[in-house]
Amino acid sequence: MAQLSKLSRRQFMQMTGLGTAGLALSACVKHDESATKPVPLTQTSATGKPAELNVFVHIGSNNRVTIMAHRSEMGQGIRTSLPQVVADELDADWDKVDILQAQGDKKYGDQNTDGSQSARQFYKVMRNMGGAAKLMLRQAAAAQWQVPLESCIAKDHRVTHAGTGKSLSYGELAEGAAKQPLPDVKTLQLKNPDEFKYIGKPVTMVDFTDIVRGSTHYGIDTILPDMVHASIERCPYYCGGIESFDDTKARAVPGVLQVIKIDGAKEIPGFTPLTGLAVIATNTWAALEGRKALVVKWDKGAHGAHDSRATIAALVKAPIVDAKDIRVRGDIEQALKTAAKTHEAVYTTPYMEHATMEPPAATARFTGEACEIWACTQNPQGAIESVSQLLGIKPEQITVNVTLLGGAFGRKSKPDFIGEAAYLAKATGKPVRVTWSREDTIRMGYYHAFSVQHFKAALNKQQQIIGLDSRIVSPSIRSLNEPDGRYMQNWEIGQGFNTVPYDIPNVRVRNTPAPTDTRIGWLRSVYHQNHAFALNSFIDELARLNKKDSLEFQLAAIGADRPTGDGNNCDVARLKNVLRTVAQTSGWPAKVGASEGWGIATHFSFDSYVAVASKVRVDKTGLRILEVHLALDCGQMINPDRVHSQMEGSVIFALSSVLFGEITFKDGVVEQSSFDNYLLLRMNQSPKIVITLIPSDKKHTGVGEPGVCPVPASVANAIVAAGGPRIRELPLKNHLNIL
Amino acid sequence: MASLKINGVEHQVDADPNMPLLWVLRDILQMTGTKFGCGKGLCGACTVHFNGTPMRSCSLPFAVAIGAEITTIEGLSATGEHPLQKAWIEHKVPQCGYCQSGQLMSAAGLLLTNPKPSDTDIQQAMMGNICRCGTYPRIEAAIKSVAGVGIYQPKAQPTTDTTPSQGGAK
Ligand code: FES
Ligand code: FES
Repeated sequence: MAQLSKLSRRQFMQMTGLGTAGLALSACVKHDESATKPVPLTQTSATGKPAELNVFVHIGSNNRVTIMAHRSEMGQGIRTSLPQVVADELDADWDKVDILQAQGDKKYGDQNTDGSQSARQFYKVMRNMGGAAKLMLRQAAAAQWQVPLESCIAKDHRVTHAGTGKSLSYGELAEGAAKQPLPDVKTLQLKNPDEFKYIGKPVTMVDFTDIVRGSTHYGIDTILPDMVHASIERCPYYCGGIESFDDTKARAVPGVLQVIKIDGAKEIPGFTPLTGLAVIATNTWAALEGRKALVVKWDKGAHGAHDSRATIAALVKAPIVDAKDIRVRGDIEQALKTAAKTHEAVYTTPYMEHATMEPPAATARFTGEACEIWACTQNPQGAIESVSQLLGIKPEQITVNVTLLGGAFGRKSKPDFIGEAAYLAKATGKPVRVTWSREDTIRMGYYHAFSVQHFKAALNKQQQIIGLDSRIVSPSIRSLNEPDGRYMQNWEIGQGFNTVPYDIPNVRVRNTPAPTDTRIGWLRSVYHQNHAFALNSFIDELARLNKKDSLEFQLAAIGADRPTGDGNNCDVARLKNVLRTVAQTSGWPAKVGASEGWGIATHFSFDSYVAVASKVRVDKTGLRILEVHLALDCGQMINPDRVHSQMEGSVIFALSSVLFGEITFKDGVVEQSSFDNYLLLRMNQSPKIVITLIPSDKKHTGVGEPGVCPVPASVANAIVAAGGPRIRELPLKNHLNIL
Repeated sequence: MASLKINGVEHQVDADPNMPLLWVLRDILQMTGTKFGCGKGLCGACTVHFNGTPMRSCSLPFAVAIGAEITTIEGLSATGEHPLQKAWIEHKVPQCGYCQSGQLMSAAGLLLTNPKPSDTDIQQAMMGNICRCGTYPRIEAAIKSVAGVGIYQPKAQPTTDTTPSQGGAK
């Protein structure tokens, strides 16, 4: 991508394809406009129906194929992998393919790039898109040559007539193809897997060249003519406000243009901007300096005394009140009474923040008629909805251009920062870029929910688990939108707490209420990672109690091959397979040096199966993570390299969480602020990582999130194996020195 | 008005001398390849070369850069053909890519002074650069793959009175 600053707005739109709504179909990427007016294969409307054929494929008369990337790229490679599927079914030549990032528009179907959904939802759609476009190209050739369709063979970006050998390029056929009727999806003859050219291959990400040259466009990089910069001092108290302020000194800082008050929600935060004072300036630094000169007296509201350590500690000890039964099987009271042995434990996990390397950033321009936005968003359609409500304008008046995302992990599907830019663009009448500082990011987040998890197990004489009584206390994401959202939602508990893979005859799962004192939001793998930590720690405790090998005990607890009967569709044969796989790659039960040990854990999430074995050393100097082995079964893979890199990244992400991840509140305010007190794993702490991807022809399942889930417990279990303590309260840094 | 030499080109800059070089690059000169991550020297996203030495531009008042040779990711090589840039693509290093400008500048700085770094040398030089996506294993492999193969020559020799880069975990 060329330097934004050197381009006129029109050129910029052409280069990036970021046009206004409705023009995307004829947008032109990276080549000379006159020669290459791309031909949309179908004209489509922007109605709410799922993606219609064929908004994803455009072919120019210059023989370039443009494939729309409608999901957000945040490092998972989706801008490459979904187009790779289209190109394969289309028999296009990848070197003649351009990728164009789609704006937010319902015509593409779901664009909310969240929940490890992209391959699960869109693999088949993408194949149909490529297959339909190819059929239309063949039909166009058949019509032009007056020959039967069957004799027109598409291959390598051309259609060839089997009888005569004459052939035409896709570019030459494009115009004729656009006139063909829409094929019925059911009649499409898609490829057999052995014919795949790109699907299942480690195609290089399309953005690499720009990334290594520093010429990419992230949300923080948008530059518009006459743009001003905003930095916002937000109320640090949940649902608090501004009692009084003095901005005289702030306005006197050179470069500062004005200060604008934003009134946020008082009761339920949703995704609206927080209350704060926006300092508008000619550059980011002046805006930041202006903020330092603000004098603000905050209205602390109802949560000004929130102390998260005290809250969690109290919930560990609190008597059981207002418990809600989530699942009951057999008779747990009886099982506990008649057990040969019982065991009890409570685990806690803290609030965490996403800490994306690129902080939230958005740019907006408001003309009175229309609002145009550029943002690193995971959810452009959600952003449109949210800005529409905030500004009181129609969704059709809003355009959201999706930039690259410098990491997201769930943070960037919440459009509060986009609303800020839109609001300020309206208030100033100028294009505004809002850039969050690192401190803003850490202190004003949508926090991963803390959890307090109570377990009690009943074991019989044969050392089998005959009863499991469990209770979860954790703030719910529903609290963002419901004033009294004290109970968790079923899907939240269903993320591995209600749904356990063990074959246990007597089960009771309960939920007791948790208070909400901050904005709770989803973070990579969401509640799964809390639940996987507690359950896998507990099963390891039970194994040790019975003096059994943890792997053998887990396999026995999982039991016979079957789908689990809790509506969770976990095929335990596949779960046992990933466990056995990491056992094999790690040499379980491997010999270790002094003060070293291995721990193992497994978890089913986002329809994928993951197991992890970790090796640690714990001695007087502290804890060192030495080695992490991970096995993943995610069904078929579109791009195995990107699956592999997601697994490497998941291990490192999860190690940051288990070792350091903790946001605490004191007197209502977050205590952490930057990378000196909210630590992330660094290269010198990064262990040897061994990833095994299980080959499979099963349906595609989630990739972005499942890898993180078993890592924390594998480490906690390894610490015990190494002779260290059983740690039931995360993060580990509060108990051991991290090396 | 001050003159700043960036990637061999002189730029006239009219700004508060205390403004960090990072914001001069990004907001005034509109060179957005250098990234903001923390503004405190803690993450390495903003790394540039100051007379050949990797420095955190977020913590460097731009006035200090007057008269120095500044190299940013845009100037690491004219065509993106620096051996490390090529190795980064071969090893498929990036995920989101946001930290990679800084990673590349730190790695290039390391190889300038230490063409054949040991594992420990690499980790010491790179520990100031956070990658939230977790690309460390591939960064390490990519650096090793080009160690000793010959790295670009800086236009200016490193001077002795530069502030050392601020790196490192606590
Ligand atoms: S932005 Fe300079 S070190 Fe983080
Ligand atoms: S590649 Fe995303 S932060 Fe490094």
